[in-house]
Amino acid sequence: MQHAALDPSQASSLASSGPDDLVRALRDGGLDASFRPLLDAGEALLRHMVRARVVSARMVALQRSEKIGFHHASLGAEAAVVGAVLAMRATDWIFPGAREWYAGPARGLPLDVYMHHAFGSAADPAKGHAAPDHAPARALHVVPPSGVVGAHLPQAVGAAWAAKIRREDVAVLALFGAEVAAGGDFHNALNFAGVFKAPVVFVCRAAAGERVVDRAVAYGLASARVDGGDALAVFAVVKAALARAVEGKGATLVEVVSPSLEPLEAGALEDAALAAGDVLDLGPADPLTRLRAALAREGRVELSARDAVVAEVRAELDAAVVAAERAGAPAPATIFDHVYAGVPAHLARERERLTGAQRNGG
Amino acid sequence: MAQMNLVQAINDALKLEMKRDPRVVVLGEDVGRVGGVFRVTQGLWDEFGDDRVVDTPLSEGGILGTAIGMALYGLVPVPEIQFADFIYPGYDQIVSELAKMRWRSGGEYSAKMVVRTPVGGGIRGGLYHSQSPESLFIHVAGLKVVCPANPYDAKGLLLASLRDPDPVLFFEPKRIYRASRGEVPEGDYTVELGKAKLVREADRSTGRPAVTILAWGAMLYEAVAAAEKALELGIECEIVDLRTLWPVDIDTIAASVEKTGRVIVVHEAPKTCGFGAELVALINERCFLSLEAPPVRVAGFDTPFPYTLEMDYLPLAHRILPAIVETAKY
Repeated sequence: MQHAALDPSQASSLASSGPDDLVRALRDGGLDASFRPLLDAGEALLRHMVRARVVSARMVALQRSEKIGFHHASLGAEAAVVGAVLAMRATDWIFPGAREWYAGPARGLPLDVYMHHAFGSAADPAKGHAAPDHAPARALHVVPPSGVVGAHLPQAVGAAWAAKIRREDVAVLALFGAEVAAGGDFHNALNFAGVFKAPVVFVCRAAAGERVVDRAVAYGLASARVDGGDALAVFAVVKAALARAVEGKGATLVEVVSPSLEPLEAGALEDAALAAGDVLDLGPADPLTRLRAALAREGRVELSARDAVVAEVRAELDAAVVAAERAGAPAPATIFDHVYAGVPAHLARERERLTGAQRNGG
Repeated sequence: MAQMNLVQAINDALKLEMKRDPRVVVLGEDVGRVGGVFRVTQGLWDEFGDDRVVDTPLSEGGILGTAIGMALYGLVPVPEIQFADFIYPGYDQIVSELAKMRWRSGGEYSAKMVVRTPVGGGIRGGLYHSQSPESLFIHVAGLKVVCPANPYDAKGLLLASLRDPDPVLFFEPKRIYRASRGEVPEGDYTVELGKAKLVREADRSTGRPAVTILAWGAMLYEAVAAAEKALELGIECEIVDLRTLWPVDIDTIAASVEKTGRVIVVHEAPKTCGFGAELVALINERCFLSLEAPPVRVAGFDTPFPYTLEMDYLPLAHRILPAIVETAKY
């Protein structure tokens, strides 16, 4: 099936290099030369991908030890999330799903804040109201993920549409997994985006063969399909889609084909990696492994540089976990905060009943 | 002052606020060129154009989902749902997203909007154009629910709703869209949310038994008609128009019930788990020792809304009157 092509002027370097329509920058033989102009982004991409990997591994361990409620492990999704987020401008908005929790940290949400949120501590920006991986970061234009899979997609379109109505140079990135494409919110979002030419970039992580990308034709959207193990390719494609959006050409559906890191689906990979104490190299298909090797070959990073990043993020995590545990739970009365802008009388009465009962040892 | 009906008063409020606040955007099915299925938004598209008055695809989930995104970004969207009966495809966006956005983000984000939608029966609309789903929204923490009964309140409550920081469900009683007429000031004014209005007072000096009737929207007029008949039978009625259903003005309700000792709640929605159930529970909590009779609900039946027999289904004056008599004699 033919897709509405990305604007050639913006995507001249995005020629498919495989036998199919998959955009790739990193190939067995090395970096596709047409992607070389994007290499300056390589070090930041790798650094964030390593950080995302180490954080997720720690979160899995915290979940297993029942220190936090749960975590949306994202091993293997680093290239998709980091590549897409770093391709956007700081002024653009991001609507992640819970599985794309690293959007916040990639934008600059400090890990101690992320960890306070995971613990639902007294210092959690969400006040302990929402489960781990649903952190808000308004100052960074990151909307907190919903627990309802896919509900954020029409909202992303609405935000983009609002920017367009206000004539503001802002685009929106929506991150999600292919499971979302089964639901009505996906249809609503792509349909409204097509009708109103909203400046949105939809980035969908999909397994090989799912071909969510083919839906774009029906909605009149541009589309691209990219190797999800290849952060530079994701970065390039999302940058091109962003440029389209900014030029008023409307939304793009980008399918990021997830790397095959079997047996990731069964959770056995996390178990094995955690048991071995090393999650940094999950084989030749690992997006971290591929980017690191390519950047080293290009003379952009030292292979040993990864160790410093790992040590840095582990130290941050150690401190963040201690701080989150020390902060303790929010005061019970905070249940009633932010239900409304103020506290209506019926909530004030309930709050008084709760806090009064506690004062009286009840 | 101008004479307006409910439709004109709502239209006037929208026009006034769109002039005053450039963040206000109206969107929905046929709200633009057509002016809405009930013509409530007529003329807005001509005055404010494509960016501010938007005809959308026919998808309530899409309308409400995108409206939430607009609100997150900083606009004040006013989505119109053609009939409240059609709101359910967007219910998840209202319940899981709109109502919880402020809470789940610890106050960082909010999604301020006013969802306008016609409610109620009596227009030969059948089961999909007649429902009154207020209790489904009152039950959801984070929403405010408003239902005006006359043009003055409709304009003032809508302006207050648009300026309130929280999301508001604005239910418009379609049966009285054009039947209810009254004086409406031309300029800017608001009717405070969360304040009920005593529209008829019982004279307790007469020694006659008295009954409080709680009503809103189109059924307010049925309560008034029943109260007139009851007076002929020697029963005084006090009528409270709730105006804002949630947060409910329990103080005004309690003051009236403490005065009369008797209360009847009237609503079109089915009786079971209708808002009347909550009102009766609140009254029992607040006024138990003042009650001289069990609180009574005169409501829609626990059935879908019928097409042919809609006047038998609705809690009209002829069904309210026996309840008044029964309560007064208890």
